[in-house]
Amino acid sequence: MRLLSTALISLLTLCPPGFSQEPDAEAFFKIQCVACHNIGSPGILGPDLAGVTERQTREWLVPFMMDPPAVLASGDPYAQELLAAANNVQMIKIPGLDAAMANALLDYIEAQSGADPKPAPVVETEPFTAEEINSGREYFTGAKSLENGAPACTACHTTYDIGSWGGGRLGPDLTHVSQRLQGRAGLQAWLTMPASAVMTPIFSKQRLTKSEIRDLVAFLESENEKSPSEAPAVTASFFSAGVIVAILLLVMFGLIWKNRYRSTRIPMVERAKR
Amino acid sequence: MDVRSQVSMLFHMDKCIGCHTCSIACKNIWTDRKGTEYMWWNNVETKPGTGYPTRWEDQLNYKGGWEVVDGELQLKSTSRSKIIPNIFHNPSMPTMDDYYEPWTYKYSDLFDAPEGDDQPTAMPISMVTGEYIDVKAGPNWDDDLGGSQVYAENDPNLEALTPELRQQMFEIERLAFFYLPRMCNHCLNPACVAACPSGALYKRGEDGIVLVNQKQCRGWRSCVPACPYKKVYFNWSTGKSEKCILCYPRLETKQPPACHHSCVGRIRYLGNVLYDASRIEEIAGCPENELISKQRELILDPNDPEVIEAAKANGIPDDVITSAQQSPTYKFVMEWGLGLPLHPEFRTLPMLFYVPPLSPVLSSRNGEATRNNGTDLLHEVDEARVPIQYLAEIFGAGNTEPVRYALRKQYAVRMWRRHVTVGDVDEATAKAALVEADCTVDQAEAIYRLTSLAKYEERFIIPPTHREQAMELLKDPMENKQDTGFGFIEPPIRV
Repeated sequence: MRLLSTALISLLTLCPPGFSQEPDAEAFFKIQCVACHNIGSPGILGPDLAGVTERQTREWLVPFMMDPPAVLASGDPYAQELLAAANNVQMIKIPGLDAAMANALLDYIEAQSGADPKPAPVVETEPFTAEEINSGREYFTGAKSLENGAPACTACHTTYDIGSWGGGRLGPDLTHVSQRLQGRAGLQAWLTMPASAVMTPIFSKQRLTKSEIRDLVAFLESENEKSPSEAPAVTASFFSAGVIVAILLLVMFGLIWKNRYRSTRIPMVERAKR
Repeated sequence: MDVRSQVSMLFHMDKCIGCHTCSIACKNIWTDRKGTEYMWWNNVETKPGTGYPTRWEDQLNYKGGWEVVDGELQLKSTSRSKIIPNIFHNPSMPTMDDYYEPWTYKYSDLFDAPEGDDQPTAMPISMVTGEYIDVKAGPNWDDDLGGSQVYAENDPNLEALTPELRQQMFEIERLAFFYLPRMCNHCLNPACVAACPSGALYKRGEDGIVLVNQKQCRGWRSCVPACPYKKVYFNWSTGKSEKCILCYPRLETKQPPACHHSCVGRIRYLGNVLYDASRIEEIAGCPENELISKQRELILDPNDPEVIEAAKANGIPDDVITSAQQSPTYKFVMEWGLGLPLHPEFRTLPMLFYVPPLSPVLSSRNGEATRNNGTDLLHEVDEARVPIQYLAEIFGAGNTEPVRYALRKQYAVRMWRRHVTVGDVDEATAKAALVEADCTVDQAEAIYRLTSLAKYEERFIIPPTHREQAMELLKDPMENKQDTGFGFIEPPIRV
């Protein structure tokens, strides 16, 4: 018992910083924010954050950072303005962003605002080649594994054109994701650091490489262009395939164990009755 | 020579009256627990009939026993390659309906029914579901239905008979039947033991009783189809197999098994025999028509000095050898050639032997007088109401010779005793009959004595089990010598 509590205490003291100390805003910013935002120049999707505390009060900023969709839904005029400026791409609710972290982030942004403006991230515009699209499809379906060991997209997502079985249904259909995220910039930003409760924990450890992102963007863009609708629901065909396979298995069992024992007495009595 | 001792039983079918006392004695002691309702470790069947479970003798269905494939002895039901694909569903498992759905009656209705114009009745209730059931079959349905067109006619042994003989068996006023008490044969080559994937079934070394280790049984149920006599049962409550244990707790205390002890017709005999275990495989695989004679070769003469020496070398105690020398089974089977195994063609070398039953010779009724059609009883074995081919199917693997021999000898002994007690058969005829039946006067007297007069001590020669010696194999008696004289759960600590 004594040994156990010692172990427990030493474990508690070894707890990661941030548990009881100041939230590490810089690290958080570099993981969660940089995909869309920048300080000192416009981000890929979101506005330049330099001087954001001068443009709005903290009383407005902190709740917005914690839950952007809620503030947008409340019909706040400034929030609507921001949405329009960002080509109608909504900022998502960032997992792990609480009031303390929001304040720490604003402190960090204030501190960085005076520094030298950083160059805006480049969004490539050159057209994708067929190989890139194809390679993107292979990454998506898992035919080619992602370099840092992240799971293939198809585990949770589906698109219009990845074969008759489709992909997973846990995440949203990605056929028109390129349209939803306003093209290349949005896709690239998302894939650099996917900011959703499910994806962040996975992809912050197993990052996609630059070339993988480019291939996937190529594939998703081509999907959007050539696909008339969302991916067809494959639930029904899964079900009917299950039924067919089950019937085939039963028929096979029936043939293998054709001569199995069934019953003696009932057929004997039935025969005698006739 | 690998001499071992086997407790072996003999049922004198000519004395069985079909009273089922044996079955009830067994049921009350061993199988009135939950999960064993449908089990009858001992049951009595009416022949011709389909038996229990229905048509158990039909191995095309149940795949019990052994067969010789390319000169090698193999189980019909399973093999090393078949056991894995079939392990979750054995394809030749009898269903509950083939045994019967056990039932009781709602006796409380007889007492609790409100007063009315009609007598209250006790409705049958299934002992499995607890619901009311329409009783469709029972453990001796053949007899309950009086040899019906369904059950008697579907006896698998009748298939060997010509249509005329079959018809003759069921003719009014010539109808014949007899009883067949059955229990585990405690075979020398048990198929159930061979089929068990968990090694839970074993044949006890000192007396050859076949048992299921309840701790080791995993409920695969391979034994159930493998046993051609369908005498291993699955307990649905414990999930393990159970079978006749030959009342070994009784045997170990020098009492005969309950079914033997309670038999009112005194048809049951029990004694041990010595056999040569090294020849089992060879003999179980011999051609079908030699099975009976070869099985007799397997049983050794307990008075032969060579056998006695080999038995002692194998660690068989002296009193077990003495007991084998007095064994009634040995006399019936080996000395007199009367005892025959049940369905030897299953090749399990059963160690329960039957004296085949006599039946009335054909007779006709003319006005007031009933007249025997024949004059010479001895030669009318073939004229008996139960065709000898039918008995040969059951006791001779289709071979009529050993059955005819046993029946003739019984007739001859009867003629001899008729000469002695009634005197209407003259001595010369009786003696001629004995000679013809391969019997001497002394033997006839001995057969008569053991058949008709034998008391408890003569019918049951129970070998001492010597459990203390069996225990010594597993546990060192010197283990605690010069050790503490007490058993301690917690050892004493000196403070």
